Amino acid sequence: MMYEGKIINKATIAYLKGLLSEQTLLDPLAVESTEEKEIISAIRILSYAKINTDEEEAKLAKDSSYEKKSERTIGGISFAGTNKEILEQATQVRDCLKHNPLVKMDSAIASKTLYKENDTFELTLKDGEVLTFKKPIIVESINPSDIASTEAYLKSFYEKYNKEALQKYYKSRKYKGKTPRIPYPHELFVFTNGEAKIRKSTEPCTYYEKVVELTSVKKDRKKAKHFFQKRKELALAKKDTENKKEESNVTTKRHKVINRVPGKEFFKKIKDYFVKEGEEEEWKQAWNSIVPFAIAGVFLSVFKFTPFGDAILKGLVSCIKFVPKAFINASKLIPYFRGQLLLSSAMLSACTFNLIMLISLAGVGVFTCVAIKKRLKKIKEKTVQESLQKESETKEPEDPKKTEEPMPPLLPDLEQAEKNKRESTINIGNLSGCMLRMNEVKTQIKECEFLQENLDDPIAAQNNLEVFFNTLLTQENEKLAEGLVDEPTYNKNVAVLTNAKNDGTLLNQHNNEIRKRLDERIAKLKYKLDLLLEQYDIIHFGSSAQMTAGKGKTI
Amino acid sequence: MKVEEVITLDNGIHYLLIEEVEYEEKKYFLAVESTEDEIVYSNFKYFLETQENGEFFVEEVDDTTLVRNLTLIVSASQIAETYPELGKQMLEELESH
Repeated sequence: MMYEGKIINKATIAYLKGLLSEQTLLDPLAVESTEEKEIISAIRILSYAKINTDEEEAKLAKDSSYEKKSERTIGGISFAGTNKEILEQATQVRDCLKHNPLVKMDSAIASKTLYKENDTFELTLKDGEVLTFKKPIIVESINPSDIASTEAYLKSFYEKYNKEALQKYYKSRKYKGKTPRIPYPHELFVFTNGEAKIRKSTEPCTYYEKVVELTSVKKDRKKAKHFFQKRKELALAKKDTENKKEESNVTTKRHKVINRVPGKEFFKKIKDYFVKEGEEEEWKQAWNSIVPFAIAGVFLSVFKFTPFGDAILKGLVSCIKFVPKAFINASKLIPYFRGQLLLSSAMLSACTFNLIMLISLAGVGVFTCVAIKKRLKKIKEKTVQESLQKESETKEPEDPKKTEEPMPPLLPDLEQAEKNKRESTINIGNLSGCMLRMNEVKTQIKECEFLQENLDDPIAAQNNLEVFFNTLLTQENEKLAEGLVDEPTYNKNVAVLTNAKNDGTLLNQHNNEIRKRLDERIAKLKYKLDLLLEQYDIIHFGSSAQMTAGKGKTI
Repeated sequence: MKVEEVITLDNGIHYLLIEEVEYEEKKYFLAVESTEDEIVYSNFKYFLETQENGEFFVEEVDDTTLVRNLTLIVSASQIAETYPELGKQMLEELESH
């Protein structure tokens, strides 16, 4: 493979972000673009985070101020002390890295990073606290805003030996119903925007790093240059080795799997270690749902072991069934009772309980009946209203002449409604409401007809004309005031209106308009009245038919 | 075979199965060479899993394009955890190809 797992991730991100071409992703050694070379170099450095101390050592060795105290960052690790000490530390770290997971600690996090014997690292945080890690870790903190959270996280990590930190991560993460996945030891801790996240790497080693944004990759180009050449040489050498190996194994590409066993050290340890956390969470949830029942069960069990409790329970069970049975069962329980007092109290409890049950049942029955009736009433009302609404929307108003036909007699229906009122009170509200609406509509029709008749009245016509003329004049005045018309136009319009008023044109125009509107209004009102009559019939005869079976529906 | 298993090949080499990839209706595994004690080496390979008469066989994937696609799929799933949009884009791109 051209890339190792941790590099391919970043290279792929770079490719997806358009920073690397597909060809480069496929074969980084063949890249010719300087820009891409630098990016690849940076990716390699940041991915491997190996400390190439050769050049640094040379610089330090040549440095005349060998004993001068300073702070240096080599390969991302901060060292403090004299150059000699730094060199020693860096050498130790490098040696450690040959056999251990990588180490990288940003200077912003730890003011001092010292490699100690027995594969331990001593980190001095900014607040002076010294942490000693048993295993090397790798942390990069490029974004200064992440420092605080990273430090806190490291402390947590340190204190809880990684367990609590992972637990915290799992708690903070939204799984959306998924079972928390068991973390692989080669998973990476990623610090992004101050939050600890985790992602899996194909690199099976235990190390932690901050995800490296490509913006920061560019910053490290200069630092990356001298690494690239070396990496290139290494990659070429590796490629040659792989090619040779492939050539030698051409005929043995296909292998039979002779044994397969579940991972023990690599996965099982982690599984055993962490699966408890997941199970704990699940058990907690399960327990929360079981607790009430468990408590009730324990209580009842304990209660049952007492003679009195046993008798009460049996009595209650019997009482729930039937009253006579309860008494019989209660009498059978006499041997359990210790004395007349207990018997009396138990019987009394049973009777009281039974009485309460009966009353409750009766109450529930009545309530249910009432609720059903109310519900049926509402459904019927709703159905009628919907049908009326539907009809009014779809049905065109009929010929007004047709609506002038004599209205169906209301009086008999009202009498019938009064009669039904004695039989049932269910539809009283509907009938009354319907009649009220019909009366209103009738009144409105009469008003409209009255207005129509009055149009021909000379006095009323004159009054209407004055009102109409004044309205139009007011409109013209408003137009002039708002500047919508100029003064000559205004004068012209007023003159036209005055002429129209004087020669009767305005009156005719007004009357015709009013008559037309009244006709439309009356037609609509009559149509509405028809619908109300229909509704009245439906409610009246429908309910009557239901309540008085055998009378039939007269609609 | 499944992830988290250590397989032993007929040449005596042990591999730890790290990732499972379904690609073009075939099952591949990302594996890393390891010892019996599961001390892993930096030697990653993709294996194609095949079965004959109930026995498992693995075939190393040497096709560069296929390796790249498998790696992209693995990476996409990993990237999707951190960069959902990128992961999605990546998978879509793979599907389009």
